[in-house]
Amino acid sequence: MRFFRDYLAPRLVQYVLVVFCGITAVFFIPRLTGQDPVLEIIAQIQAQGASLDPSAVRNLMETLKELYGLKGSLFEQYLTMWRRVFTFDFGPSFFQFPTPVAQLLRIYLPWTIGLFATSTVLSWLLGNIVGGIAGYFSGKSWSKILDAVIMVIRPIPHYIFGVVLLILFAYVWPLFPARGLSIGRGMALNLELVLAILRGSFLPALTLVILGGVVWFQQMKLLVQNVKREDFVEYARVGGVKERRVVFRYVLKNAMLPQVTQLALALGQVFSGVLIVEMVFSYPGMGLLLYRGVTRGDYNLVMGITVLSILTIATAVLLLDLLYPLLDPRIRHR
Amino acid sequence: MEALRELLRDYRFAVGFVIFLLLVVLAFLSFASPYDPIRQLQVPRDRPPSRAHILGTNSKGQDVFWEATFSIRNSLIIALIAGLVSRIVAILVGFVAGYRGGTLDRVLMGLADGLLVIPLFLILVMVAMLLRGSMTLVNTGLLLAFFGWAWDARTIRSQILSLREREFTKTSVLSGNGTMSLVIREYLPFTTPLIFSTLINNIAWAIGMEIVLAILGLVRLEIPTLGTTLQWAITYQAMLLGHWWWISTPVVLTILLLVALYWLSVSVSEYLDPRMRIQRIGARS
Amino acid sequence: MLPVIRAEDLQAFYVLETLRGKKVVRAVNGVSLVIPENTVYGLAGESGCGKTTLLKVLLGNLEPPLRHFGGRVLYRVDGEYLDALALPEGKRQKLRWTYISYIPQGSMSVFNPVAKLRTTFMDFLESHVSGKMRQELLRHAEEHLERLGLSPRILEAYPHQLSGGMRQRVAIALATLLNPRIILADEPTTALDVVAQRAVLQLLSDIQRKLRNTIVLVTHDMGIHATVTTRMAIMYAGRIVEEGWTQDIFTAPLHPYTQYLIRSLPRIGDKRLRESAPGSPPSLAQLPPGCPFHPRCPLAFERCREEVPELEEVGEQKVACFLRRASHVVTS
Repeated sequence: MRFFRDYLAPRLVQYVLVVFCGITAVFFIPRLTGQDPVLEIIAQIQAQGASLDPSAVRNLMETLKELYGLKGSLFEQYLTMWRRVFTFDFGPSFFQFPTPVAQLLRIYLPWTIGLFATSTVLSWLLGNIVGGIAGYFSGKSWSKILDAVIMVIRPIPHYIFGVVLLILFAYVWPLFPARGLSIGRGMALNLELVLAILRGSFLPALTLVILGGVVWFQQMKLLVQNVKREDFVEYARVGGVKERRVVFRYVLKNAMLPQVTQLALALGQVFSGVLIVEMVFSYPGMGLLLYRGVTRGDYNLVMGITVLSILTIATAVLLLDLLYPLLDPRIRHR
Repeated sequence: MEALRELLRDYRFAVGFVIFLLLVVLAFLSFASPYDPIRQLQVPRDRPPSRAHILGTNSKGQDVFWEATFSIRNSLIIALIAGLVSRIVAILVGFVAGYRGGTLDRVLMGLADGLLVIPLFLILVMVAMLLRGSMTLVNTGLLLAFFGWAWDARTIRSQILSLREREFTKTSVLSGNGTMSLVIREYLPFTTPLIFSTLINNIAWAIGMEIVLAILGLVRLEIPTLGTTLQWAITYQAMLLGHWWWISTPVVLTILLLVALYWLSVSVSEYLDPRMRIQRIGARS
Repeated sequence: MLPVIRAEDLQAFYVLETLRGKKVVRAVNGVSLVIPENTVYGLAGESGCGKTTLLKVLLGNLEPPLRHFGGRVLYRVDGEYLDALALPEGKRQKLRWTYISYIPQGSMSVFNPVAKLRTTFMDFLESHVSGKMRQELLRHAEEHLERLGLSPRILEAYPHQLSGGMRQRVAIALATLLNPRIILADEPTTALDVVAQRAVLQLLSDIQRKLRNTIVLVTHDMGIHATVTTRMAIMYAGRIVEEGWTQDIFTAPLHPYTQYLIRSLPRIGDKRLRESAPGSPPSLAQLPPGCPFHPRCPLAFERCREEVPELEEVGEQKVACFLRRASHVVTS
């Protein structure tokens, strides 16, 4: 199919390239610092007062070097890293020795994906629709009031906004659990579990939906004010097409298209936001894992999280790219 | 000064300006602090706000108010370094890529694009983990600068591209102006609002990022910044123990600072927009 | 012949708020027209003379910053005259497409890019023809297209899949769907290649002949007026300066401006340099006193600078000029 050749294939290539470059960056950038994580660990151990004789230190260094894939020349290390990526073997987690990093990731990843997908879709839809209607009726007072409110919310960073919501709704008015969810093993799938999940996910999701939504609101409002002035919209109104239809089928439907592209571009930042929010609410996702990994100096774990995140984001972008032609007939039918 | 007066008519600028000024004053107050910012146990611990300590004291035995003045000052320093240094890189890359075009442009933009899809935040964290020992204020700022130029370089480049195609470029080239002088003299006025607003956005981002780095324990935790003071408050369970003054201070200050910066950036960039400028010139003559 | 629409001393201005105060653009500055039924009526003039605004006002489509400052627009519907601008918007909407319709300039982007043409047609129909089933409406649209020589399969396409000329013809089909008595066509052939232009003009003539309605053809291209229209009006700086049978206007133009317009048409075998009127049209926000054309008119005299000439009858033509009968302005 021509479509495959013109549209799909280049995007698949792009996907592979991005993942490749991303993981290569993960490899190289930390090495630019000239710091050796192995020496770091040794230093930490010694700083905590343990004294080791030189041969023990050497053994430790060798083991660590293997675990971190730091053996051999730079090129050998690079290849080792790729081998590990393909076998999903990131070595053992340092702080939960000897649990392999991959196992931890497997447990925590689905939670993050769930939160990521739901909050992103919700914030995008809500933000765009409300922003679109506000943009169409930009003279009305409610539109202006909404603008002002959003001007205050927009600049607040994820962590701070999360903390505010946490204080308000888990401490001041304790409606929601403060420590999020705790996942144990062998949980039965029943209503109680579902409710617990909803309660624990509500605040993080709310944070993300609001913070994400305000960005879409502002962008959509601007877009709609331009689309409103397009010829085909004016013509439809002159021709007597009902206003409600004009708003949804003529204005919003057209303004949404560039917003899909924008979403694809923003996914990297959105994902980072998800991780940060997870940290605030101790939500059992990769953000929490990241927090634990970083504070305990678990380099393997952090690397695993980074690689997995790159894959997740790149895949999400690809999915969006594949979705776009379904929405824009100009791409669908050349 | 004329400009200032006109800007102050925009309520967003006025409010943002006043708040920012107040915060800067607070930052400068730190030089008059009767307490050492780093030493602990200087005052009785966990006292709620009183006349002796207007924002109370924290669990480390420090006066919350005076710690706050230092935290504003240090956060601003980090953010300023990050913002200014990344501006220089973004401008260089954006101008060169936009004007030269060709392979250089594609390489630079490919680099920038790659940095966008990758969760920069995570690589930033990885690097910070390795540099844990040496995260002074300046280094934190530089680290943030290293990761903060990509988006803005792309925006600047787009604008340079559109400027390049306009009439006055061709005229200028035809009249024999050298490339560098052309680029600097002619384009800078048009890109100034863009550079300025991206500077403020970058500063805001740096402040937010610093907080996350602090929460992760990746900066020198003894140095008071908005992030580190928040971090200590959380570690010492300030919320749970009801020491609301300790945790609210950095939260409220951060919100005020960032909202002020945002309002300033929006109002100033609208004001500097060349299209608005021309309208105003018409009004005066 | 009875008129289908009349304009009486119509005034409509754009009021713009700029930083230096109010700016008033007098786009329609005292226009009086009587447009007969069953005619192809031309409206000529340079760009910026107010033609498009006049059409908007005739449609009753006045949205800020465009405001009505004086005069009337009379529709002749079912034998009665209706003051279009005094009607409530709801009634005006009902008349659109059923009595008067519009083909906008630049039909390139007149259709919703993300909807099939079928959907757009239905959208327009539904608001005017209530109570009918979708199937009926669809059939009506298909029949109409066939009558105009267009394939009904077009309805399944998206706008971008059609060529410019095709889109223009579909726009004409859409405008004539409910058999309106008067169709305002704003520059229907601009930005089309010659072949497409011909097809569009042919279509318009066919429609006019078959349905016996009036088409108001607005274009700056005098060649088109010569070919297609039977009666025409020349507009300059918001006013009508000459009006009459097309043939008369071309063989004996009375107004100096009309003469310039006609002289600028190329003629086969005539290798002389084409002359256009010196200078350029005035800004509609800063009109000169007296006759708007006087700064460019080689025959202007004292009175032209002080008084505004009214449209007066000279035989079967009307002209707004103190000379009443200007001899040929441009010497060879």
